[in-house]
Amino acid sequence: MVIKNNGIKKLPLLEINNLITYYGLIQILKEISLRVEEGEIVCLLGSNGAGKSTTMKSILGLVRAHSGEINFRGQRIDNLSAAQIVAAGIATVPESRRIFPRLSVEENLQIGAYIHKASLPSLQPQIEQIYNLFPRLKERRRQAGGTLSGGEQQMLAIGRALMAKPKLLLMDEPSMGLSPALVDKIFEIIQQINRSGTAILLVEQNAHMALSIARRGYVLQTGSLVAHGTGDELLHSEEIRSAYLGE
Amino acid sequence: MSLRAKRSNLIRTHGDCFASLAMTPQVSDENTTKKLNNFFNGKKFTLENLSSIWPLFPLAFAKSVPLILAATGGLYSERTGVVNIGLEGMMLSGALAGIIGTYYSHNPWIGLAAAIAAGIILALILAVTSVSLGINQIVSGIAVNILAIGLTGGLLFKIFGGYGSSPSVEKLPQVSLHPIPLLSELLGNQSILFYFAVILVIVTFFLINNTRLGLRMRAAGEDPGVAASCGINVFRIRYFGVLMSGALSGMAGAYLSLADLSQFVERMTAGRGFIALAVLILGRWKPFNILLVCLFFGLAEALAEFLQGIELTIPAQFLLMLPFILTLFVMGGLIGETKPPACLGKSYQAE
Repeated sequence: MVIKNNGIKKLPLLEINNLITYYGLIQILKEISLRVEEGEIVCLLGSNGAGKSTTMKSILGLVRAHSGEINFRGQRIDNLSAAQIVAAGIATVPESRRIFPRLSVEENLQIGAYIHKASLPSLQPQIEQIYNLFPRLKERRRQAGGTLSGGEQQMLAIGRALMAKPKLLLMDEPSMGLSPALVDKIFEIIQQINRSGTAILLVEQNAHMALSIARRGYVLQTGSLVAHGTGDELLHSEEIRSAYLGE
Repeated sequence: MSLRAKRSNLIRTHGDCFASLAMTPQVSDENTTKKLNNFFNGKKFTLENLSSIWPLFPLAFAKSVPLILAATGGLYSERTGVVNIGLEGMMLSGALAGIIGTYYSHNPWIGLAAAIAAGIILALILAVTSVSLGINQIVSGIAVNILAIGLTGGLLFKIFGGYGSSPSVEKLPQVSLHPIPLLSELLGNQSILFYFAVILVIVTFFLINNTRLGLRMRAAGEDPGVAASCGINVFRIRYFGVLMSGALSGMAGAYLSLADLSQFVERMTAGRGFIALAVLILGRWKPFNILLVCLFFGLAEALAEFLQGIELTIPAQFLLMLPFILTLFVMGGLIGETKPPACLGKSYQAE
């Protein structure tokens, strides 16, 4: 299916075809196919061990695909290195707010822009933009990342990913372990980032929240895609909610 | 038999690892020992007497150089997340390669280059096994050390035919800061490698804290997984760190054989590579802290050597233990918890 935009057929931003991934001898992903259009928020749902994180790592080249194809902006990326994939325009907010704990807030942000090979001082205007988005980070710019609160660390992880100026942002469970108020705040920011033109592939266990902001969603179960639809469809389907989303 | 004669006899007969520590360096001559003797026998503690321990300082600086080079080398490796237990072995092979290079070329600079190359080759073994193949870093580091002991002993016999030590060769040049009055007195004549070591510390500080390369090194040591997801090639940066540590510890070895002495003595590093590792921990993986700690250990070693020059009834072996005992005490008592790079020692594999 190709979404029509003003009658012109557009290539999807990210397209995964029949992706199969193994960890050793164990097959984790069983022929996953999905796509993300430009400017879209797409969510990938499923319980623990469904293969959500593996899908993310496969896209980023941190796990090698056994077979299948991953295309990004019409270019095959499944045989590229992680560095090349980040340079192509995919950045990630890793699971459980993995920031560099001993590096300062500002250094964490500088690392995010690493692939652009810009000198450290020339990154300053871009860092200021991140501070505008997250004023708390500016207050703590010289502090070690590990001394921040959970919510602030998540903001830092998001800020670091944005420093790469991605076309597509992968977010692995951004709401995990945060208070409800902070989850709301993070989802607000995700929408804000999306409005500025960045497509987002969101992996979540918090299905309700994720579907409420996503245009489309996929449901993964033990490595296979079992459902696919618009956010509303998935959110209001009794069957899917009870079977896969644990509600 | 005088103590000095006893000591040199000890070295000749045993070629023992601790004996090499007792080697008298260029800077302490008969005169300074006499001065110190006077100081200790003098009953009154006057300022004039105090000035007679001044010769201790040039010796302390000289003794700290191999530690500065090796510990700074270790810093490059450990900041990228690779524990380098193999510093000792890399130093030892550097020491022998320095002598071999100088022996055949009659040029100590070529010897120095050979020492750096030897350190890099051993570091390459550590990098391939622990970075590429993901073998436990401690185990491959120990393997490097054992390999170096066997290899240097074997090559020493094969090339120079004798047991225990090599013939003497030309040394690296010494430099004195004559125009600067106080500093030149404090430093005395130092090998050119001393000045290099000080510059190295400054450059390393700048590199680690203010450059993209340093940021990349720290990121790989803190969390290689996230570093990779930011587009950093963790393997390449860890190779850089390990090979730099090899080059610098090879140079540290060359200092022992081409600047401190002018020959190779079997196992002449005598645990300095391990002290360098302790220095890293004490210095909390920071270049200037490491410099200070190295000067402290250099002072301890110089003191041990100085006290031997005096007719005390303490056996020389006890004095030679001084730096090692200090290491234990300082590590155990003076410093509390230290924070190494978060992923130090953890191998990274892109699945």
